[in-house]
Parts: sequence; C-alpha cells; structure tokens
Amino acid sequence: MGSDVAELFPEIEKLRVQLLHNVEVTADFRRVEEEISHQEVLTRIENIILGIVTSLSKDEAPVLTLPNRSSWANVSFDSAIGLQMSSGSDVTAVRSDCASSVTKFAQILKILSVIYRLVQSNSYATKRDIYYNNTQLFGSQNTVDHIVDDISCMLKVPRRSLHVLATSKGLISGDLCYMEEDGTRIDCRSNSAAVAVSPNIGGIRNIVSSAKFVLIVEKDATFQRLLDDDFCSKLSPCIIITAKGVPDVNSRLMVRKLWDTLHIPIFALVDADPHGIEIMCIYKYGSVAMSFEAHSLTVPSVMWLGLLPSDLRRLRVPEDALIPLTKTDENKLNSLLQRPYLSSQPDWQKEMELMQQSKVKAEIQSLAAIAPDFLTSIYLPNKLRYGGWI
Amino acid sequence: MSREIQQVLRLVMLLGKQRGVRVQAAGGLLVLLWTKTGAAVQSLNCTVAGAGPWCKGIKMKTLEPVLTDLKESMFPRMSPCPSVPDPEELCAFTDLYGSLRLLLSFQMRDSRLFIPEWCVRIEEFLRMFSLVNAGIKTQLKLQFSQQTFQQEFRVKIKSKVARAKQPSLMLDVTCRTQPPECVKKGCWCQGGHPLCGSRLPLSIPPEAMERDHVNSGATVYTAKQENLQDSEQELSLPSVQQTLLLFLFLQHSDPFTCHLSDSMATEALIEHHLEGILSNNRQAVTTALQTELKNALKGLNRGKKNHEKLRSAAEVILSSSISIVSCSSNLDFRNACLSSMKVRDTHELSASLRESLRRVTSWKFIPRGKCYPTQVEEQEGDEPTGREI
Repeated sequence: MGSDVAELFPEIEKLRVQLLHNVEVTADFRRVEEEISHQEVLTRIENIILGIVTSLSKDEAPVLTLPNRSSWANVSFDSAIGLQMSSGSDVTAVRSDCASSVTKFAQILKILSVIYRLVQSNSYATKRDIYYNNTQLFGSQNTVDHIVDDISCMLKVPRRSLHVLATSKGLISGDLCYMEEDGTRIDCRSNSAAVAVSPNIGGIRNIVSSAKFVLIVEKDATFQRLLDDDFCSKLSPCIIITAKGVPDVNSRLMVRKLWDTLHIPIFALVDADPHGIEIMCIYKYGSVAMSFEAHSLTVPSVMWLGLLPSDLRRLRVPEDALIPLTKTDENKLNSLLQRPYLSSQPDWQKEMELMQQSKVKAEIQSLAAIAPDFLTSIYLPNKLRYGGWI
Repeated sequence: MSREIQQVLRLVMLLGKQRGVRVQAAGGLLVLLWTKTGAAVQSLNCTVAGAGPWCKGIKMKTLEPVLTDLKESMFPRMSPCPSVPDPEELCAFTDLYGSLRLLLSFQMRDSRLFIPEWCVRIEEFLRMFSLVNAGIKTQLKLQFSQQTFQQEFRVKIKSKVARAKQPSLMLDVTCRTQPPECVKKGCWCQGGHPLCGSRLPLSIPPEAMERDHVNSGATVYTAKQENLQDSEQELSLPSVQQTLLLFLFLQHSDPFTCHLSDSMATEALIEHHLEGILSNNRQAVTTALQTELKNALKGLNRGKKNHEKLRSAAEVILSSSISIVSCSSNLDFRNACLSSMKVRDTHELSASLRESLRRVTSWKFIPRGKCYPTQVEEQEGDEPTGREI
C-alpha cells in the first residue's frame, strides 16, 4: 500500500478539515497555556514557607491547604476543555501538630525543598529519584507520586514546571520526528520498534510529521500487533501511540502536543468494555485527579474508532470470544453513564447502553476469532475508509 | 485499732448493701481518736461517726444488738468506751453532714499499747476507703496530748464506674501530679480514667477457709492518669510521672451465709488469707493483671508513638524550611522570615523555628468527653463527676 491516506480515506480528510475549521473558530477561546517562569515557581514555594514561618512566629501550628483532587464534587465539565477543577473547591487541611497528618506535612515540605533546588539550578529529577533519596520518609513511590501532583495543584504549577519528571509508560511509532530538549533527534518511523514517549514533553521541539491521523491504542498487546502487521506503513502516514492502559501524564501530554501541533484527527482503539471506555474518556476529557491541569492534558476532539459494542453484533464476533459483564463492569458502566460529559456524546451513550443491554464485553483480540489479521487488514482500514468512528 | 475501724466500716457497708444504699450517696465519715487520762492509765478512745445518705436506714438502737453479737469478732482487744467524744467535734461534723446516724466508740484501756505506726495504717486505710467511696467525705482527727492532727481525705474529681451485676462504684480519680510549667492552662487532664477489667473466678485453697465456699471471684480495675507523658527526647521535654492504680474487687457469695456475722467473718477471713488465695490462682491473676496493664498502657504507648512521629517529622519540616530560606536569593523573602521570628540570621532562625515548632506540637492534649482539663476549686457540691461506661 503506502498510498496517501487522503485519497484512499476521504472521510479522514473531511474530518481533518472540519476539525481545523473548529480550531480556527474557537481559537479565541482556547486557553493558551501560560508559561510559568522559574522565578514564579520559586516565589510560590517561598510564599508557602513564609506562611509556615509566620504561623510559628505566632505560636500557631502551621497548616497546609490542599485542593481535594479525588472528589467529583470539585470538578465541572466544559465541552471545550473536559473535566476541570472548580474554583472554590473543597480543600484538605494538612496539620503539623497532629500525629495523623504530620508525616504528610513533612513529606510535602521535603519535596518542596527538592523542587526548589531543582528549579533554582535548572536541573531535573524523576519522581523515582526523589523516592529513593529518602525511602524511609516516603514509604512508597506512590506517596511521592501523589504528593508531587498535590504540590502541582497547590502551587497551580504544571508538574513539568516543577522540574520533576516521570518515567513515561507510553510508546509511539509512525510518521513523526522531533527533537528533545537536550538536542537528541527522535525518529519514530522505525517499522519494527517503537520509541518510548519522552519524559520531558515540554522540551520537545521541531516536530515534523505528515501524519493524517493519530491512533491511540489502549493496550500494549494491540500496539505490538499493529507494529508486527506494519500498520503504520499500510496506513501511512499516521502515528500510533499507547500508554499501556490507564494513561500516564506524559502520554496524555504527548497526545495533546500532537493535537496542538498537527490538528489531525485523533482516534481511540480500545476494548469494548467499561475499562477501555473509561481510558478513552481520560484521554478525551481528563481525570478528576488531574482536573487542575485539564487545559494542557485533555483532547476533546478524540473520536471513538473501535471496538464498538455495535461492531460485535455487526461483525458477528463469535460468542465464545465474548465475555459476560461482571458486577464491577456493570457498576463502572453505570458510573460512566452518569458522567457529565456523556450528555454531549449521544452516540457514545447509545453504544454504552447497547453494552448494558447485551451484558457482554470483548477485547480487540476477539476480532482474531474472525480471522487472524482481521484487525489490521479489514477492520481498521474499513473503519477509517468509511468513517466508522463516533 | 485500724482493724477495729475496718470492722466498723465493714459492718456499715454490709448493712448498706442489704438496704440497697446507692453508691453515690454522699455524707461524711469521721474517725476520731483521742486520749483520756484516767485514774491509773491513759486510755485511747476511738469514735466512728457517720452522717448523711450513706448511713441512711441505720438506727443505733437496732444496731446495738448487732454490735453486741459481733463484739467479740469486731472488738476483741477493745472495750466499750465510757467517755464521749468532744461535743464540739461532733457538732462541727453534724453541721456539715446532718444528724448522726452512726456513732460508735471503743477504747483501748492502756494507750501505751498503742503503736504510732497504727496512725499510719489508719490513715492509709481511710485513704483507700475514700478512694473507692468518693461520695463519702472522710475525716481523721487525732487528739493526743493536747495536740490535734487532722486530715480530710478530699476528693476533687469523682468517677462513677458501672459494674456488671454489681452496684456501681464511686472512685476518687483526682490527679495529684502537677503539670510541668510549660504546659498551657487547660491542657492537662486533672483526673484519672477507670478502665473496667475482666472478672475471673478464684479458687480458695482449702486451708484458707473453715468451710466450703462457692463462687469467689475477682474483678480487676485499673485507674490511670491520662496526662500526657513524654519520655526524655531530643527536644528536652521534662518527663512526667504517671500513676496507675490497680483495684482488685473481690466478690464472694455463699448460699449458706445469711447472717451478718457470717458475712463479716467470711470477709475478714478472705482478707486475712488474700495472699494465699491469690497465690493459689497465680496464673489466672497474673494473666488478668497483665491484660489490664496492657490495656491501661495502650493509650500511653500510643501517645509515645505519636510523639515520636511528631518529633521526627518536625526535624524534616525544619530542615526543609531552612534549606529553602538559606538557598533563596530573594532578599524580601529572607528578610520577611527573619523579621517574623525576630532573628538576625538563618542560624538563629533555625533555633527559633525549632523552639516554636516544639511548643506547638508538644504536650498535645486532645480532651475526650471524659477528661478533666479545668482546674477544680474545692467547693461543696462542686466536684466534677465523670461517668464512665
């Protein structure tokens, strides 16, 4: 193959034009991400410390106030942005004079002091580095991860501006070249091997790509299958990316960066189950935990390409490849149907209601029951050719 | 002499049980010892007087035959007292507690037989009595050789303790430990907190009892002082002595005992052979005591762990804050921090912040509903009473 996607897949081209038009129309309303200067980050940290010193000067126990990042009550939905943290949201007080919270207070201060030095010296560290520097204080990597996000939310500073990097989970492949901050040139066009998503998305520059669409793939197994079947050459030019499940921030930032730079259709290929749908929603609308950074993480233009519940019926996927929904699946599905963003996606709602009625789910791998190469030879090309996305 | 006083009080308490007197019934108890010079020798007299609701129902006229029956067992070494106590002493007593319901006097003919250590024993006994009968205001007066020694066993804080299948107790839980000076007013619990223990049956060794008895048991109670205690730490907090009182309540029942004299004799016998009884049940008693001590110390141990948490976190908080202040090139920020703490440099800032953090995180007193944080003034009817369980 290798023919231009624009000729063979006119629907994608139509969508691309439409999306470009929407972007131009709404350009005035798009929030341009503010670059937070180094000095501003340092000043915000200093304000926290000054608050602590002032409390102690009055013989009052210092208290840190953290916005609550786990409550649906603290987020609102905007169709242009996704889930974003509401102003005046609930906060949690972390006290220094209470045995149940003093350790967290100390952990936050410790990480603040690390961040301060990183920003001041313009150097970077990973969350893993921070954890291993004081395992006794932090106890687990998870603790460090949560606190870094808490600090990002508390200071209203993106994590990348704190100079704390996370090891990326994601992989990317396809028609894409760019340069890392340190000058390394990255070429994702290898047919056989994917490139790890950069830990420093903010430092990426000189993006060059002719891709007509980006395909977000939920699972690593499916991604590897696409690589093995040379999908990017067959459907060239395109980009495929996976975060191997629930996306990490870097992978989401990469998808967002591709959208901001290329303005091309972004499709999601997820399992036809509640978990896959939720993963797709995170890319599109964001998560409650990271809602404070919605502007830089969400891509509301993401389209659901597959595997749709209606595809299972239409393609007559063998019954033994279908799996009954569990109680957890049903609960998750109900919860998804209650989400504020579903009301603006009637087609998604219909698909999810179909899943609710049929009470079955299926993995993308179930298509192999029809034919071994059905996914890359028939399903995806047809979907892309005939506009089978919602 | 103390034994005789014990016997009188044993009699009154047994009579009270029979009459269903409530444990929180108040009143007064006066134990008055005085000497009187007679023709040949100086005698030592003792009067036990009681007034108030705790003696309700006692009539001296009906008591006299009982006392006559019990004379040998109650007062083997004493004789009836021909003298009367100083009416002024009794007036002062009745003015406070109402008319006398109990007035019992006995005499040791030759006061030279009186050993001074008996005073200590009497005092100790009355203190113990007051601890577990906190509703009754107990006074001890000694008038020897025209000198008067008086002690009132004051109860500032009482706590009613319910017992399964038993009348409730009124315990004196007043804390007698003074807080260190650095503890803020209102941040010190003035009273103890009784913890109910378990009941365990005790077997009585045959040699301890004259006849078979059934259903002997003991209940273990501990009363602990809840004041925050710190062991010595890097932050140099003074240590605080805590008191743990362990009460062993014995209950004996015998279907064959119906007379008061039998009950009194049995109680006295059990008391006499208490050590033997406890030894005979060594393992069970030790286990019960260890369990109660462990429960009583749970709060203390938790407090220690919390203090250690606060202490180690404080070090991290301080070092992180000072690190940021020291590294900062923002003069306004640095000056604001230094002037806030009224210091000249980051070295002094570190010391000052450390001291302030120590003050706000140490001696954390989290009062519970049953704590006694306020200073109690002694006034009639003003004693705070806690209700446990």
